[in-house]
Amino acid sequence: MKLTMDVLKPRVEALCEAMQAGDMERFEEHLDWLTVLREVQVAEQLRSLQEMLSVNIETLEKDNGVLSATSELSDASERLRYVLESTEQAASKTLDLAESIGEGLSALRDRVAEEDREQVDHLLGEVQALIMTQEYQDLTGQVLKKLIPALEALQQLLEKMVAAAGHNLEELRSRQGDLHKGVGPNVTQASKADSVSNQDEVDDLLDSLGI
Amino acid sequence: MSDINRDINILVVDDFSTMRRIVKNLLKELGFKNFDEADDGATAWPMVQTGKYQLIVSDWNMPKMTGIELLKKVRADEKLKDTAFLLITAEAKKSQILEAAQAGVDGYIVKPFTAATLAEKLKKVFERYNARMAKKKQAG
Repeated sequence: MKLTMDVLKPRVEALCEAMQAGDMERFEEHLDWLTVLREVQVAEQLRSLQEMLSVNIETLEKDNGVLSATSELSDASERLRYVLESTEQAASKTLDLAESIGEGLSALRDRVAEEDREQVDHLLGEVQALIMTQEYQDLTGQVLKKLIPALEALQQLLEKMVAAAGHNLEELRSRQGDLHKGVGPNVTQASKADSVSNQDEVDDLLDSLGI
Repeated sequence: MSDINRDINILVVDDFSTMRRIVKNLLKELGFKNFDEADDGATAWPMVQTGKYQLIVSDWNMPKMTGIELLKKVRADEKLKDTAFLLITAEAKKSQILEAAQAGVDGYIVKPFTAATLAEKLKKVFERYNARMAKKKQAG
């Protein structure tokens, strides 16, 4: 029912009359009627919102890009953590080596002839630059650390929407994987299944095939 | 690796320049001298078709043409099919290794890898390559 002044006016007038007459029973009766009318309106608005959402989810269904993005996004944060950890490990190893070279060169500097010191100093400067370059890990790491929680929130939202549209995300995932095209490093728990974990396992498998 | 000709022409195919640089440096350490680079299977294919290369070292996962597609094209070409082919890749699914083996790969290295692994696998790659060439010579 649509709320118009024509519908409301007599009811509001009756409500006022009942109030003026001090008739509590009639007053409450009219108030209830108005309240129910309001609730029905809210429910209708909610229903139309739900219909809009449902239409949008059906459009999502037709748009494979969005569905595949949802599937890919489901382990995006895990993949980003892998990037974070690998770059951290690599940067740390580089720093270890650079520091060790720096220490070696410093010790050497005291032992070389005066005319060779300039060259050693130059190399020490290069080592220092190498160390400074590892700064990238801190900077990129900070960006990733900010992105991960945002992605996780988005992932949960999209997964709920895909589920609301009646899709099974697990089925979607299996449809997405195209091993022929290559999928990159197996960094998530799910992708580690049926994978070799080191070169020895590759060799064993190839040996069994006569290669 | 005394039975390996270090003067051969090698094509290194990877979409990451860092990895191409690492592979080239390692190959140089092993005494090889002649390299070319390609950043994708699609860029590599016309280069391979010139018949210049005796060894292709390729990544799997690349944007336009993957390493496995490049391998299959090489093996399907009468003139190129004997080329030695080594995959260095992060792809580690058993089904992928099987696919590469069926496509005729000579060696398969999983990233991250070491210089020692590359040296060892190259030895095997050339054993297979030399055996193939000897067989071809016998038949011819």
